[in-house]
Amino acid sequence: MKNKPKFDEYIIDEKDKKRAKTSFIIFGSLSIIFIAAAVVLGCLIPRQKDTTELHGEKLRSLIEADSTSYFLSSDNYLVSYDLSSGSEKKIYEPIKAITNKLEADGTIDSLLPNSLQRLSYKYFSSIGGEERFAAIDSNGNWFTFIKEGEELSISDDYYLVESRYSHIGTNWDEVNPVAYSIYTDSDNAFVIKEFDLLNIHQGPVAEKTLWEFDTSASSFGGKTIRPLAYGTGVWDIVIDDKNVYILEDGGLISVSKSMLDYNKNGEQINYFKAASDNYIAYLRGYLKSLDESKKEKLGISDQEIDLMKKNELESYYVKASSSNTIALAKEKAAAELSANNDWCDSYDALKGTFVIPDYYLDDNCQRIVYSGDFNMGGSVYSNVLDKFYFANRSDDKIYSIDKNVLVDTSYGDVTLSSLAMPVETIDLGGRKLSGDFCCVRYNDLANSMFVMFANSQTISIVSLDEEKTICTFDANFEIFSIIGDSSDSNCVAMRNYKSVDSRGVAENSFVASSYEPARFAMKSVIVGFFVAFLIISVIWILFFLVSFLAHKRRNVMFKTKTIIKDVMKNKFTYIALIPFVAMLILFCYYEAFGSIALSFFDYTAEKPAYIWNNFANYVRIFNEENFWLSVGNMLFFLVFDLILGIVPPLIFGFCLTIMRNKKYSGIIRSAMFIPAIIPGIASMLIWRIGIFGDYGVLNSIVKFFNGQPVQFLANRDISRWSLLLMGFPFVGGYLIFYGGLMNIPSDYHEAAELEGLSVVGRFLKIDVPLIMPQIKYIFVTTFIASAQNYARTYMLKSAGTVTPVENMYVAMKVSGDYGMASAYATLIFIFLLAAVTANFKMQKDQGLGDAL
Amino acid sequence: MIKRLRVQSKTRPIQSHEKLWKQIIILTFVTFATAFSLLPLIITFLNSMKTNEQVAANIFALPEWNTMFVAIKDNFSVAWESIGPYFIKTIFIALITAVLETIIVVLLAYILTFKDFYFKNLVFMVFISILLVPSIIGYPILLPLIRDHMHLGKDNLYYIGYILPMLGGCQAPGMFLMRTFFSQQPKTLYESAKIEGANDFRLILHITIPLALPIILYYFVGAFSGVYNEYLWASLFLDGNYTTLMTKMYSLVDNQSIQYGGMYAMYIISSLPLIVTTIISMRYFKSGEFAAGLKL
Repeated sequence: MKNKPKFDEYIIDEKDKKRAKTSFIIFGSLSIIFIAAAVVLGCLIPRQKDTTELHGEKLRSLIEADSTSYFLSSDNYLVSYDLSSGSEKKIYEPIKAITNKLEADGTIDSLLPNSLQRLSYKYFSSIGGEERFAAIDSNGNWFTFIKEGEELSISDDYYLVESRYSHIGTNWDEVNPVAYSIYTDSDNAFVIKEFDLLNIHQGPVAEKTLWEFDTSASSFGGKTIRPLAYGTGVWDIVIDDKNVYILEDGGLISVSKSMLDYNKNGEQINYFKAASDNYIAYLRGYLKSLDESKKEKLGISDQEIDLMKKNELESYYVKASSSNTIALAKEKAAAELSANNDWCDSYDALKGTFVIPDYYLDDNCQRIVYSGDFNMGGSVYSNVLDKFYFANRSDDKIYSIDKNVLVDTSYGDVTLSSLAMPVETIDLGGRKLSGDFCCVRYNDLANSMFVMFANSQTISIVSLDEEKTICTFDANFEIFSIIGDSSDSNCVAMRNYKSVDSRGVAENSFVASSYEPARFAMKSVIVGFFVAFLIISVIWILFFLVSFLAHKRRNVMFKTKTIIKDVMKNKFTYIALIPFVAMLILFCYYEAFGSIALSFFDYTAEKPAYIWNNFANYVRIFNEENFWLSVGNMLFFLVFDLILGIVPPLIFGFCLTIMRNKKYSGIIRSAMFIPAIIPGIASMLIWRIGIFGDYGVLNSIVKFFNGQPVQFLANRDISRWSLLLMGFPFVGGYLIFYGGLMNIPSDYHEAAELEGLSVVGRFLKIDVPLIMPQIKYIFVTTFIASAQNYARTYMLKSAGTVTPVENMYVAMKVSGDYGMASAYATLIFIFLLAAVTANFKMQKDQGLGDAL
Repeated sequence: MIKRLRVQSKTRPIQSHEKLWKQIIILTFVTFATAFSLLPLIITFLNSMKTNEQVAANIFALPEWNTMFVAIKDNFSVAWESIGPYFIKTIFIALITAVLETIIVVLLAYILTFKDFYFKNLVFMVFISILLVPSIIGYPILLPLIRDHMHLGKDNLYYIGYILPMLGGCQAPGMFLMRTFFSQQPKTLYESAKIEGANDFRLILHITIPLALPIILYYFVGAFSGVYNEYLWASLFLDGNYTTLMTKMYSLVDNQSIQYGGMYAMYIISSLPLIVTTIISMRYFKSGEFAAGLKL
């Protein structure tokens, strides 16, 4: 800097003093304002509130009622959680009460409930202002509890069943105190039962076996139909005055109430068979008739029916018409027909759409299954709008279907296109729906829907009244189930709480947490402003301190003035630097520090949530079976890479310098560039297949000497040595040595000649010491590169040559476990610390010498 | 200087290493080492001209005259069908990235060499301190950052997400290299240009870049082949049809979905752009003079 102002000549004038005074007052007040704003924003940052009493315990169930949610905690307490006030209370121990009750009634021990699977709760105005809970245990036993105020008591109304049931879903009829439960019994029969809630002890008032699942017929229409016995369960049961709708993960089933009695006496046929002309098939246990006169409606010609009849029916395509008819074809037959047949065309039209019956009950009894690219991701029923909403994982959209349409087109070709009018889709902005759990949940208080996306922590609230997304937010934890209050301003979510013990074994439990979606949707904005305000206030404070000191002290005043002048003069330089520094911080510094921090967390591609895991990543690494093998391999490669990276190239470079024929030396140097034209990956693949492979160079030589082919890479005993061979004859990196050797003044060599040193002696005593800097440089860079070389062992697929860095790469690429990868990265970094520091020092000395 | 040395060497006696038998040993060693270094390339070249059965029968055999042209046609058409679009796309990506990297590095090095401002040393240290951290360490953070937080891992934002970290990562080492050369440029030239009223852009365009053109070209070529050869980041970030040539080649070979002849033809196609870059960098490196810059 020229024209530097000199401190000795500097005198503070009154103007400067005044300026300093005003600026420190301004900066002082600015910093106070900004700190206050940052504090306010900090308080506004949304946090989930874990329900304190239940934290860490397993929750079995989450039910809702008005603005209160109820959990059954793992210690078998019923816990209420008030959504609006956020208060929670253990209110009852249902299992203990049931046990006491059964003991008092003298019921046998074997019927004791072992776990209550699901709780349902509704308020019944018709029964004297009581509130009732009903609970079903895993055996299918029914219990009811009466709530008066805060007190809960078990009622005499319970029903004990005799066989085991696996899946249970319930819902209450709002008008009549009737409940339905649905489950599969021990014979895999899919049973729906109706209970009179006031008289449960009398047992089901009606029951019906919907169909019996025959395991041999599970492949249906080329697709495996998931029966309820296998499925993860019934999501909900919705009833109106005519039908019972069962929402299960395979789709929707509607069962006419009137059918319950009818089907109890219905004819059941358990296998598929072609019968007479009038009866072509028995499907799923129910007799289907095909009237000759109705053939045409289906577009089935006589010939095709013959074909179907001739073949023994094993695997079926199904299509139903609007009346009581059904057609079947063997898979093979359908393929034969496909060339010129409209039946098969209509089958194609069915592909990827809703398919009505894969089994078939009667006029009002139907089932929708997914098929083709319709992949049901859960469904909800809005009783306000009388509509069903389906989440389709295939195109990540929500479809709505008017319930009345479903009822009316009971046998129709209910494809999406034929439902074109009533079907409306809600676009979710291209986000992927959650694959694991039911990705939609209904909030009947607000008539809205929670839609869970791919990582199970991003959630949209969709208002069903407006059929559009109200807000989308990240909950920062994996949500398993969620309920909201009447305005969706407060929600309780049951979330997966994954804890990892010291052996690295992950255990899942559930925690209920409450939070406000509206604020969570704003979270990134709030956090952004918070951080910005924080940084700005730190700057203001610094300015304040500087201007304050400048006011007091002459030297600070002087320095400040110089800096301000300089900064003002070079303001464009500073502005120009901003993007560079921002990129550096975002893509370099954040990674470096973040990676070390991330190594203490569970963070995977599937569950991208930062979960502290008590150093479990490190514990896992050190306990891994091949840990010591991988460290051994790393050191093995390190030692040999260093030797092979220095000795052969050094000798090669030396030979080139002492070669008399300079022209030939030039040709050789040009030729040594040629291998660089092969991309690194290609070169590695050439070694893997062209040299080490079964028909490769080495095995050709072995074969020439009549030897047995050698598995150079797959044989654990030699694979390490084979990998070392890669890059033979290892002289590729000679250039730096050559450059260094060429720059040694010839005087030294002449002196050596006079002393009578041999070539080897000269090489060892003069050349090597003089190019020590180059050797050091290669040593350090080879050290760093060798420890990071994941590609060699990964790409050559060699056996028993795993290294830590390959483990890291696999953790990122294959298992998506970024926490583990970070832990590996951190360990490798620590291992390399000395080498990278030496490298840094060398580079700095080289580059900074003249500049700074 | 050169002249003087030459005269000297003519008059001085033959040194011990210049004796004939030693020279023969040296020549033999150097020739064999070079030949073996070229072995992978020779294999590739030979076998790209043979049918699959011929490769399996004897990898060393020369291509047979009567089958050679058919084999070449088959191999290269198979190879082009498998990697053609990826090849073109990867060149395109590498060109764009290399241009951007070069611009960034030149601008940054210019600022940090010629501009004089108060916190320069601090900024400089911030830039070069990152050289302490090997870049592989950051990938577990980088991948979720780009894909999940910046939402660049979908639709047509894929390639932006692919390129951005490379641009961020090139700054420190590239600036470091450029700066060494920029600082050797004569200061007087800049001062007189400034007096004539040239602004920074004119200085960069008319003085810095012309003077440092060889190193900038070398850097550009290096950046190009770096991006072209990139495997780690591509394999982690890009998938499906979005992959680059290197990841595509690896998966083709790994899944055994390409036969021997086509495989070698594929390697030859993939090395075409690198022939150009190698020729350019050869001019710079061959003399070994660059090593004088490595003061160490």
